[in-house]
Amino acid sequence: MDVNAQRAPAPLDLVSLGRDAWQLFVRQPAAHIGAFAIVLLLGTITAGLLTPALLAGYIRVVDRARRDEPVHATHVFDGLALLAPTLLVGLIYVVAVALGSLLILLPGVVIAVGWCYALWFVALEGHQTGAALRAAWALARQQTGSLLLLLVAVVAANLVGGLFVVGALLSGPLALIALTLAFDQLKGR
Amino acid sequence: MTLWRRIADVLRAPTARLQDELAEPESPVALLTSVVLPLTAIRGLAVLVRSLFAGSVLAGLVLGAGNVVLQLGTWLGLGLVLPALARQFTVELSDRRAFALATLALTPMWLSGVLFLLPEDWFLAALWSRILAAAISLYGVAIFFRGLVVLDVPRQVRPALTAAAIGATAVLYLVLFAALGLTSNVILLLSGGD
Repeated sequence: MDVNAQRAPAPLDLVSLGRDAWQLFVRQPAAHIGAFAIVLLLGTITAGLLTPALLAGYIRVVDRARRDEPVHATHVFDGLALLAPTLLVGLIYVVAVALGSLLILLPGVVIAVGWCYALWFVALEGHQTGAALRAAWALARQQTGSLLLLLVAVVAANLVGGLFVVGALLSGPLALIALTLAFDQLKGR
Repeated sequence: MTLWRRIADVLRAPTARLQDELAEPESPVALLTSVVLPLTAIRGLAVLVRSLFAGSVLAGLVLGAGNVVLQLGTWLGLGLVLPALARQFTVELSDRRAFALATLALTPMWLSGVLFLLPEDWFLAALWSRILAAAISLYGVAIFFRGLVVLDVPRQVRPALTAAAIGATAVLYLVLFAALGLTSNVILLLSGGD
């Protein structure tokens, strides 16, 4: 048996994904909410320039938590070590989606979905910008339906969370945790 | 089979039409060219004509095209999502069947696009026409549910899967609607249009 063979990606199970995300969140809710608040606050103050790096930092926080390691909100600053590739990914993503949307909307949506996991490839697999975008596109092509369903569920959860004053502080971290756990499933990690 | 015969069958005898379409579903590309584009064009043209009467040519073109893309994107998203959604309920649904089901279920919404001819300045008429359009679109839910019956989806799963499909469609439509609104405003702003 080839121990290095990659597991075939399993179909996404949203219910168990939601359950796992919730369990991960409630183990250390203060760390997750604090980390997410840092991403929001510093991202806003820096007009979005630090957002990709801090998001990558939070993705790594989730990855640590998934491996039962203790996490603190300030671990989100570890993402600053990836400032260059994450900033580049973020800029390319935003510009491409904006330009694609001006071309009768759909190309922008396709790019938004196709490249949505690029930051995860930078944060968790150490890819540089171009490789992360290519890998994200390949993953989206391979798992289009599951990925789209996941994004629909995440948007729906955030829409509901946004109806309540503090809802976004719960739905935001939960969404990112779910997306990170799903990244493993979609890739067969 | 002509498009209008197809539409008449969907509205009058949906179960029989569903049985035919789902037994040997056409490819998504064939559905796109023969059914989806012509029907989504109804609302686009209605918006364009309405805008022409109001003297807003550029706005009509942008919003007309945008409305076609909005409906097209909803169809595409629903067709792509349905197989993965069905798997959540341990139901296997092929891509072709998913797109065929999405096409039939969204047909009432596309047909109701003719109601967008009414100008928005006539507030009450416009309000009632939108409500009527929404009500007609709901007939698509019944078509979708019957589609699940035709596909022999287990009885206990049908209501939940239908509800989930409605939710997914609503989210897709809302996201595209918001993006369309933003994009249209940017385009009209950049072109100096009204």
